[in-house]
This record gives sequence, C-alpha cells and structure tokens, in this order.
Amino acid sequence: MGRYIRIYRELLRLNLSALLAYRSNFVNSVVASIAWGVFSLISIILLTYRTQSVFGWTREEILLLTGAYSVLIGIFHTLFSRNFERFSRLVLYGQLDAVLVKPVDTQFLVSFWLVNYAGLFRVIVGAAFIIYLLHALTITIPVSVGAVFLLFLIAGVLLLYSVWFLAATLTIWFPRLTNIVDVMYTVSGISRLPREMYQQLSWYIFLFLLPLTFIVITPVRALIGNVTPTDSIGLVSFAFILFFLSRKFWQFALRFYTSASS
Amino acid sequence: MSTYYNPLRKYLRVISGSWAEFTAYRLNFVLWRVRMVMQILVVYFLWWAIFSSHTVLFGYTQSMMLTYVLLSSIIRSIVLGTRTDEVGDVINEGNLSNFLVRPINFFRYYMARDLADKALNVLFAVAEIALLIVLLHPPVFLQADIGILFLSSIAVVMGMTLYFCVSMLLGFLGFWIPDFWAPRFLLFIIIEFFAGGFFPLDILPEPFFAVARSLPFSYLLYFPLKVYLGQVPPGSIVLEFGVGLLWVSVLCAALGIVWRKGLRAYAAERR
Repeated sequence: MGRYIRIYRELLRLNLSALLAYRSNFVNSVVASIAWGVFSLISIILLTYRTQSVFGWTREEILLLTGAYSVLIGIFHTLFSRNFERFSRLVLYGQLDAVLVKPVDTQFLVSFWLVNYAGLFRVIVGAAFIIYLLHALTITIPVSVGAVFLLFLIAGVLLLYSVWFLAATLTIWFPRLTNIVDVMYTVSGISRLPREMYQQLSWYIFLFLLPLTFIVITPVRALIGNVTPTDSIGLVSFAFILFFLSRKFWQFALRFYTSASS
Repeated sequence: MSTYYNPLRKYLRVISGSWAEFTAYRLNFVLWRVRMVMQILVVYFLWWAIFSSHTVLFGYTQSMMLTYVLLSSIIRSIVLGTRTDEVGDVINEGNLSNFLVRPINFFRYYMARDLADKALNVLFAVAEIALLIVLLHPPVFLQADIGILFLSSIAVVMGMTLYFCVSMLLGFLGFWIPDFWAPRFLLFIIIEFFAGGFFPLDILPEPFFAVARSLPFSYLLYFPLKVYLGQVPPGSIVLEFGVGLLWVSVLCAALGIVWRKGLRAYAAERR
C-alpha cells in the first residue's frame, strides 16, 4: 500500500510539472471547468425558479443535489476522466503493452496515470454553492454529519469509477469504441436527478440505472438528515460489489488483449 | 467532342465520401446516438416529473413541452449537426493548405460534409423519436396546419445557415489561437443555452429572456420550434423572419471578412 502511495505522489508531481509546462492549456481547462460548473448551477436555478417541489424533493434540495454533483464530478474529473479518455487510445494503438510490463497493478496504472488539476475548480464551485445554500437556508451542519457526507461522497466516487471502468474495459474487445467515454459522461449525469424520476421507466431500465441513483442522492440525504438505511446500504454495497466486479472483469478482459496496433 | 462538366459533381463526391467515412465506425456512431437518446430521456422525464403536479406551467401544457423536448432532438440534428467543428484543427495543423491549392471551395466543401452529417443524424433521430413515441406514448402535439409547417421548415433552414456561419466563425479562431478548444467549448455551451436547446427560452425570467432574444442563437432551435407549436403571433412572424434574415446576412458578411483576414494571418504551421 505504502508503495502505491509513493507512486501516486510521484505521479502527482509529474502531472504538476506537465501542467507548468503547458500553462495556456491549463488556463483553458480551468476556465472551461469553472464555466461549466457555474453554468450547470445557473441552469438548474432558472429551471426550478417557479417550482416548489418535484417528487417530494423541495427546490432547495434539488439545488443541493446539483451542488453535491458538481463536487463529486469535480473530484472524479480530477482523478479519473482523463485516464478513461487515454484508456481507449492505449488499447487502440497497442500502447497498453507498456503498462502491462510494469511491475505495478495495471488497473492502478491505467486509472491514476493522469491528474486533471483543473477539475479541482469544479469542486470549489460546487462546494461554495453548497455552503452558500446551507447558509441561506440557515442550516448548521454538525461535524459528524459533514464527515458522513464526505464518506458517502467517497463511496459515490468509487461507485462511479467502477461503472466507468466496467464500461471502458469493453474496449479490449472493441478497440474502436473510442467514444464510450462520451457516453459515460451522459450516464454520469443521470445521478444528479431524483431517483423517483426514473421509476416511470420500465423496470429493467430502472434496475440498470439504479446503482447510479445512489451516487449523489445518498450524500445529499445524509447532509439534510433524511438518509434511509436503504440509501446507505445501497450506496456502500453497490460501490464495493461493482469495484470488485470491475477488477475481476479487467483481469478477465486482459486475456483477450491482442496488442493489435503495436 | 466536348463533355458536360457538372461543377456540383465534386461536392456530391464529398457527400458520398463523408457518408462512407461516418458509417465506417458503425459502433461508435450507434453509441453516439445512444448518448443522444439518453440525453433526451433525462430531459423528457424531468419535464414529465415537473408537469406531474401542474396542468399548465410557464404557459406550456405538458403536451406542448414534451413536443418541444422531442422535436428539439430532430431539429437539433438538422441545425446543429455539423462537421465545421474540425475547421479549427484543419487550420492549426496546416491542412488548410490542401484546400487553398486545389480547385475546391472551402465553404462548399464543408456545406457538403454538413449535408452528409445532417442526413445521417436526421435519419437516426427520426427513427429514435418514432420509437420513443411508440414506447412512451407521450401526448405529442401534431401540427396540422400546412402553412405553419412550411414556415417552420423555412425557419429550420434559416437556423441551419445561421449555425453554419457561427460554427465556421468559431473554427476561424484557429487562425489566431493555437489552444482554442476551451473558448469553443464555452461558446458552444452558451450557444446551446441561448438557442433553447435545454428548455424553451420563454420560461426564463424576463431579463434573461430579453437577453436571449437579442442574440442570434434563439433562431437556431427556439424560433423554429415556437413556429411549429403555433406560438408565434401572426402579426410578428414577418418581423421575426426579418430579424432572423438580418442576422444571417450580418454573420455571412462577418464570415467573409474574418476568412480574408484569417488567410492573411495563416502561416501553414506544422506543414
């Protein structure tokens, strides 16, 4: 474990050097990240300004959901998104060979190689919005509740990562599936709306989407004090089960890697 | 013996070549459409949920709002479906030189590519919406007035021309800026918002709506859809088309000016 922490520290340092080398690209990314975060918040504020509640969620709770989504997706973009974008290229051009021969866990290397520091600005936008909203609603959050919120947020990131990794692993069989990441961006967006909304879908589509509905809803419900055991157990169980499955699926998929373009 | 030379033939070849290129990666294309369907479904169910406790909201019945959402997917494929998003890279990588030394018009080439893109996307969008209508039985509003249908078609063509100019102008940023993806991304989000791609613009608070209507982007999606829904008063429809055409003229003129200035700045770097 200590070895992996040291490797990751080194990766953080290397990514920081790359950032300093390509400063204009970083500034572009920061501006895009902040603008997209602010834009998502403004559009949901405008959309709900004449609506008091939807499916038992008050307007303020939906805004909180959007703020928490912004924090979670910001963390996810910082740590993982760029790596998934690189993932399909690694497979398509046979560059995965260079990863496989290293004496480090391959899932770790393909998942953590790149760090997108600009994503942190999305986290800041989301966190600032949550703090503002809680202040406006005069809600005080005890430290214990804040800690539970953060733990659930981490579980949410793990769950989202596992879903993305399961999908990205398919590129081992279908190397030309380079836009699977674009689809996953849309899939992630499902988690920012109330679960009840999707219950109108046929049950098999709802079951398919069910894990995603725990990702942001559970931390937000913990924050506003109405989290149910189903929410908590659902989030943690899905996070660990899907993470376990993603590892097994990856190990299974590697048997079929042909290194075609190398 | 003289042979008849059809000047359009080369552009027809561009259309067929582009079509072949887009369909070469079928799985990727199907995934792209899956993404589109998911986006429609999320917006559709959001509005379905909001209307579950209202009969009329923001001046829209549930039927009209869901029609707006579903129809906007088809109009989006026609108006916003474009390949001009590659223009910036073509300039940045010096590939523009290929167009400058060959007997092919750069603008017509991209119009031809756009036609291929739009045709393919519209084909799928219509099939998807038909499938969603069969599966979900949404209370869709069907416009029966031929005159209104004709006017909405004209509005779509106007939107298409407008977006071609806007997207080309964004691509021309490549003449001066090497890292232009962020400005392009930001402008695209702003355009999509002010075009009414996320929701009808008239549900916005009055000041935001006024800003949105003072920009050309509302003529991309919002205006054609409002014409289709029969919500543009007959008294103002001529004025609306007039303003839209004025925007098209201004942007076409701007396109010519920026193109000429850009060519002077073009250094065919990386070539």
